[in-house]
Amino acid sequence: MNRMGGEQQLRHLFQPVKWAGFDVKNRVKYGACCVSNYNSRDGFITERELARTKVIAATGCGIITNQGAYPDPLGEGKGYLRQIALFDDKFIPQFEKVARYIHDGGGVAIQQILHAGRYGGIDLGYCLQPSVVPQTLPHFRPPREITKQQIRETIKQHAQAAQRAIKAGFDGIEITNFMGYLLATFNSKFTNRRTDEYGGSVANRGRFMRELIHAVKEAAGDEHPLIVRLSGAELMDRWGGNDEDECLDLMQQAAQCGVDMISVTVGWQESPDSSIGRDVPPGHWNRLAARAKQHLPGTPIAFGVRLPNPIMADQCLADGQFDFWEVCRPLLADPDLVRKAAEQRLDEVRRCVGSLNCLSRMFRDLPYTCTMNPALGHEVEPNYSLAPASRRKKIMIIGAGPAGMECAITATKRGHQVTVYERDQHIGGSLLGYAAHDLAHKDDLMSVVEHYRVMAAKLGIDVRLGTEVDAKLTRGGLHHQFDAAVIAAGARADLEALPVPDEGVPLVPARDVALGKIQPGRRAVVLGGGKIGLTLAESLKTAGTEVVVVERERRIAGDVMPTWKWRHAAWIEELEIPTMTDCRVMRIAKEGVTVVDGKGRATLLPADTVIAASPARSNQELFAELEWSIDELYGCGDALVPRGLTRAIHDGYRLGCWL
Amino acid sequence: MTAIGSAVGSNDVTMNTNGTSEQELLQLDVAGWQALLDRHESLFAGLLTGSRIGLLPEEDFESPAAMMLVWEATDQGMVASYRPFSGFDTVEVDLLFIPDNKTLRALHEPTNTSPFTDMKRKVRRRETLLYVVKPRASLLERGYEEFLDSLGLTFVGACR
Repeated sequence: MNRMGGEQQLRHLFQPVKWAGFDVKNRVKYGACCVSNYNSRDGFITERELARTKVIAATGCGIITNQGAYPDPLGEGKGYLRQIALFDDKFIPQFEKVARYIHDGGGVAIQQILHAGRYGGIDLGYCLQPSVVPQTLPHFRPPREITKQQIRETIKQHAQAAQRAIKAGFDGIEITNFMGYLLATFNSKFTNRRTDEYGGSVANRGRFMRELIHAVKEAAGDEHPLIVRLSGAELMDRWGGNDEDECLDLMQQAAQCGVDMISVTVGWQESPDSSIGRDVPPGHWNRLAARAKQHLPGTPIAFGVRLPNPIMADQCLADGQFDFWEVCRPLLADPDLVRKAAEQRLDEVRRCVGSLNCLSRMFRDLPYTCTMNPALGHEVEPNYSLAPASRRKKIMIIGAGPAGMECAITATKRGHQVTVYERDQHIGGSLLGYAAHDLAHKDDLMSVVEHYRVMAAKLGIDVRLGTEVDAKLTRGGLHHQFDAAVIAAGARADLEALPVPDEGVPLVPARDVALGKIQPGRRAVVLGGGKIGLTLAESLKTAGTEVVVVERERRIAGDVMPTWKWRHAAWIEELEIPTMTDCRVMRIAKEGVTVVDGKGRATLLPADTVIAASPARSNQELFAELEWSIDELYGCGDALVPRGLTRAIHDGYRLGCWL
Repeated sequence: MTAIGSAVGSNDVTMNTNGTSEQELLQLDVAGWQALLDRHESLFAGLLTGSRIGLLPEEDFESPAAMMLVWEATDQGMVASYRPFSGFDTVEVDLLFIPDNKTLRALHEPTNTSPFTDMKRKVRRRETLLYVVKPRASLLERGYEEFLDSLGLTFVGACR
């Protein structure tokens, strides 16, 4: 491996720098990554978190920010069910461990203090804000106006939390204005409607921040840097929030207070526009960091919003758009990202695909996990580790989709000898087709397929494309060559669950259309308004086909990730795709599809192509074929239960670890 | 677009022959709003008595004399009325929509067979702001689950 080569290629990223008196080994800052929800309900760090922290500490980032701790004993600042706390000295010993891990990994250790403000008070039933401005999202708590006495107390609590972090061994502190947290609610016109010295003009709105900065700096001491995260754009100006000039003004205020770094963020939780999903092009927000740098040349700027690519980040650093690449979710997906970049192995990186599984789970009060990194959050569990196999086996895997390939790669890394059989001529299974139709950013989902292709080649996995494993092949003795078989054959549209089409009328599986095996006509009806049907319908409509979506349930997108449902709903509206919900298919005929709604009304939907996207049915026929002819037989992914990409990857990995 | 807190003066406000704005007419037309609620009674069938939905025209948000349209669930069905809006501290509704005049007009139009579609779409796109005044648990108890679900509000914003 050519470590020097990667560092030379990305020389700005890997350039050691002096920052706030610290020698920083490179210009990569691990972002606080919100909150893991791995910890105890009363704010203590768990063994699960510590195991995870060891992985973070080993990412190779020059600066590592530990996730935000709430600073107040009442929990008004607590925004997540299992958020860590720093309101008492009793928490210090655990933070000592975290700081030590980060230092052992060669990083500068920063502790974020996170008072969630508008999104806080998760155990209390209310939240604290500068003014009573109700929520616009139903899952947060009603507001109470913070008094001046409470403002003073809150600032003091932040300062004390900072002192505890420093006492625990952290090098510096970060406070955060992100997306509606307490600091953001003071800074923003949207939530700050006070008429006293903390409200009104941008100078008055910034008063809380300035007092907070002074208090934390004094508490932490001059030798310990303070970072403040501030909005480059709130994306709330439609509703009276700050515009970009006001955001810049607030950055200038922070800089004048002597902060040691400004981390530029984008968007509020409640903003009309998305900021980090894969529907936002990479690099889209870089201009906000560049603007901050231009106006504040003397203040180090960190940035990484929707900037997942180290090569792009290196160029931004070269161009002087910012000083540190702040990276979070790409390092959740692949903790070895920085190392792989240094060793010129970027082709091996498991990219963050912007599924937002992490955040979907957090806002369901669950620990976050990652679609692309099944081990994330399970580092403490031995059965998620790649321990060498105790007995080297010959394993046949049927299906080269995400579940099969994940299992193949994991099992191979553990020492097994793996052969993958795939009936199609490509790796990736159905994902390849749906990735090609993804309106958001095709490259993200395609990167999953490419990752499997690259890793199979590098690990020397025998992948036999165009080879269908069927009864004839297995009866021919193929199975006797293997110790174990894994059926990862995916799922298909269950045509038997639909009415038999009239003679000569084709009912086309969605997969065949997605993979380009069948070209739809001018007018299509898609049966099934889940993620597969919607993805296909959106793509076909964009390409000029008139499409109607028919869904049995009352709502479309029932199987879509919570953070992505809105995206499909918006595309369906923007593309003006009619959706017939609460409808059952009665007849599929030459002239089209007849559906009946919940009230018994029949409608004929003219179509020259009828596409079956759901219900899905697992491809399980081989279980019966192989049950009595091979020593060990397993299934994973959609071949067990059709659930989609995340479960396929996780199933495959877990089985690969277990075999 | 007009931001909350900016001056009133949208081009959407049209004047009729006696000098009354269309917006003002909409505000006065309690009977028209009641007819809308009567036509679409089933939409509110799940709401408990006492549940209230407010609609405050975006253009009136900062006005000290702002009047808020209130749809209240009663034993006799949904009832429309107007009440003064003097700020969030005192507002007594469960949900508060801030539609613009165009959205209000579309909602009020008697010939519109699906009057809520446009507003729902705008809420989803956050072109019409919806303030969730009561806690989620309280809303669910009052029968808003289906209503909130249909708006598709679950997750939007920075974490998308």
